[in-house]
Amino acid sequence: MNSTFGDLGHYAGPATLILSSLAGGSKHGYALTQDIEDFSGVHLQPGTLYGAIQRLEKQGLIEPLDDESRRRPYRLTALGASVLQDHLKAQQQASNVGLQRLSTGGSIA
Amino acid sequence: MSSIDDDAKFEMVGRTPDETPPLDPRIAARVSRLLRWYPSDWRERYGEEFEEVLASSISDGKGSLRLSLDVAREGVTSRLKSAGYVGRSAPVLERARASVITLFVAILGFLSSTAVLAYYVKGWQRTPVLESLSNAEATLSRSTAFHTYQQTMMSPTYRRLQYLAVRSHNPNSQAWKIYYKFQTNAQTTLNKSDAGRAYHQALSFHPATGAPVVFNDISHIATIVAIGCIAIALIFVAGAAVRIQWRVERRRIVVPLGFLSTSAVSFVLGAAAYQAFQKIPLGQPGSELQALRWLLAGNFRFWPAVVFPLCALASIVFAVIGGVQLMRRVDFLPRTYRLQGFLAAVAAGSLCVAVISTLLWVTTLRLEASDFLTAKDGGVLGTSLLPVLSIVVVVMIGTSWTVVVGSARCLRSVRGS
Repeated sequence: MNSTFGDLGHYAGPATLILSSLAGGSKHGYALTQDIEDFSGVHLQPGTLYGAIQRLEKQGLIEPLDDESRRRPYRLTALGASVLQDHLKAQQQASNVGLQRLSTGGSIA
Repeated sequence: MSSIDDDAKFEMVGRTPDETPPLDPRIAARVSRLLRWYPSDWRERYGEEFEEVLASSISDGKGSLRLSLDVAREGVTSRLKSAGYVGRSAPVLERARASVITLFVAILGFLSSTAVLAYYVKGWQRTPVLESLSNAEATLSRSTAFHTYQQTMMSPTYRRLQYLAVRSHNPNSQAWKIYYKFQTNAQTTLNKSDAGRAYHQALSFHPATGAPVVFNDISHIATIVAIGCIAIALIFVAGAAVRIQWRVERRRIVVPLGFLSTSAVSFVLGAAAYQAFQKIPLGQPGSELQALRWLLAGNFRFWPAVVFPLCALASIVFAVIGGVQLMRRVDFLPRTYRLQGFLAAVAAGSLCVAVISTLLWVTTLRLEASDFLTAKDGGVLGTSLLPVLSIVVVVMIGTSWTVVVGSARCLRSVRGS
């Protein structure tokens, strides 16, 4: 799991956002940027978005849907869902530890 | 999560194509310009949908400079990946070809910086007794100031003062003091003249011996080995290109081969000019512009000061153009790339040795002659050489590192193919 995200290089951050967005339903490029901005406050620029999409598609984590229009939608694959779930669990664990340590206030100056 | 793949759950978020308003011509033009950053294969796959995202972003007021910079950065990255310069997505031979082109440009970049160094450090190790000092002496002896000094020393007044001083038999006498002051004034006037100052400057130069000379020689040999590697590589590539392409479509390789031949001729001329350049007395002709003026006026005494840098530049530029064109126009066999990678690895070792030796040479020379960075040859147009030297060293380190990484990448790409 971690190696999959490690292979994404500097796209790992945008990739998490894209996969999380697609977990709520298939979307095309611009809808992805709007949704990501809504739930995370991060505005993904089009270049970064498509750099990450290309990587995710190549790794089989997302796939394009057949569509006649110029706005091609993408959806999460089963592999993508599993990788995202593992990644978010790991992040949640790290967040919990961090928050717990902050709440005890052990070594705050 | 498990039902995400279910088509029934598919829902389009955002505007549908029918809702898309007609695009402003200015936005359409900007979108078209931005899309050009990407390679054709990428545009073929993602072009239409990417255009839509760009148009929507710009229409919604998010088309800032940041968007343009982001697209430019990603587009260039995509182009480099597609051509095999970065990443592993391109086919093996494309990556090998890209590595060889990178290596080629990097080695020639290194040689450019060493040519600049060779030009500006001329005379750093010569002994002033043999060259500078004898020239300064000759100039001084022909100067008006020296003539005046000689006349003063032979004048009846000086001789009378000398006679009185000797006759006094007392070094503290008034006669001795007047005689001494007269002599000192004449000497000071001579020292303050242009020729006198030049003579004293020549006297202050320090000849290099020992460690600096050894490191300089090592650096020269390492650079010659790198030049040899690139010459062998070019000859081999040219031969392979002729063998593969000549009977099929020779027009594709005639121009690159012409560039490479011109580069070789320029190199030979430049090498001859460099030898002659080393024989020009230190501090002359003063500046490149001065040498060029004299050359245009029909005075060919300082021709190497103009011909050497021009030929070095021409040789490197023509080699880059010809070599890169040849690499891009011919599909070489894996064994050609393997040989290029091997030669590049040898060159990489030589370049590293050259960089280290150059740094040690400058350091030891600096220790031996502390004023050489500011005083030797009057520096670049009379100023300190330190900025030029710093840039040259940075280029040398950067290009040699590129060659080390590039040769490893090239050999890795073609391993087993």
